[in-house]
Amino acid sequence: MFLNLLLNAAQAIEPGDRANQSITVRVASRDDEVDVSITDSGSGIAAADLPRLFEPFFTTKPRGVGSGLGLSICQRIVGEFGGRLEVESTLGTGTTMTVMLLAEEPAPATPLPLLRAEPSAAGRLMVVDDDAAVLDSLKRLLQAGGHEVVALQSGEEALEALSEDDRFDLILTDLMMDGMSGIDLYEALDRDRPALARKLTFVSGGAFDQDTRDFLARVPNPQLSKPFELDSLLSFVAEQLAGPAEPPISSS
Amino acid sequence: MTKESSGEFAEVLRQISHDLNNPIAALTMDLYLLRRAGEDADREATIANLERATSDLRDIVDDLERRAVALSSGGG
Repeated sequence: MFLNLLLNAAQAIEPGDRANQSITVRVASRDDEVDVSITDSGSGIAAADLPRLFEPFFTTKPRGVGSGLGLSICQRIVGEFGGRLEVESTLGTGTTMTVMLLAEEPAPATPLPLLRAEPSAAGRLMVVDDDAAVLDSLKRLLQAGGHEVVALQSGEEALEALSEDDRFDLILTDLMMDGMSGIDLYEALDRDRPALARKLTFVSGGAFDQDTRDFLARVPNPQLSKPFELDSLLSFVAEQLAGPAEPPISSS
Repeated sequence: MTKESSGEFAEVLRQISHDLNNPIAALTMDLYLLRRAGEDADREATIANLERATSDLRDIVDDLERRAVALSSGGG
């Protein structure tokens, strides 16, 4: 449609005299409307012809140059979008065709939600990883998800902290750590505090040896692999906090 | 490659992939935080951690290169 208007503008200009010829495209927005105008410095349209300009098969072009359908089609297209097509012209000076379209209300710029969780889904989490960068990232990620996070860098520290305070909803622990591994931590807890052992989720960079694979097959605890699909990490945490004892209420 | 040496090689590869996964996990999480958490994220802490994870990756690659050089010169 705009191409058609531009071609009309170009055809309105007699060849030659380049310095004084122009086609100008302007875009303006006002209130709930966007106007796009195309102005040519061409031959203009006689006032007598203006009322018929949008009639099908009406043309001011020489025979064989135009069918006379272009502007009527343009007007119909603009009309279908709820807009208008207007013309201003002075014979010998040029023509301005203006397409007036309804402006769409811009969608409000909302930041992407980090977590589609209700406030009640916030939990108290322990994170254990001997890699400082991973530990730090996990901590801030889960905090940004609204959770309270205690981050510890070894299995020994985790075990000691749990002996003093075990009020955690979920414990995410790395599997392969120097010193006390995630498996060691599980076994120590399982021996003395089995309820806490069930709160462990194993997080690892994959590529397990056979012993680790056997262990993971034996225990019921969930596993997450690094690097995470983070949406699934956060939704995993949300699911764990929701707990198997309380199936989600059907949202019918 | 003998069965024994291929077992050792698998163990080395396993260790390398585990070591690489840590900084990659940190990078993934930090980039996610920067993009998704917007103003809620502690940008400075996140960027500092991105630098730490990147430096960890560089150390791992440097270490691999040193081992490769040692192997090729040692093996003649």
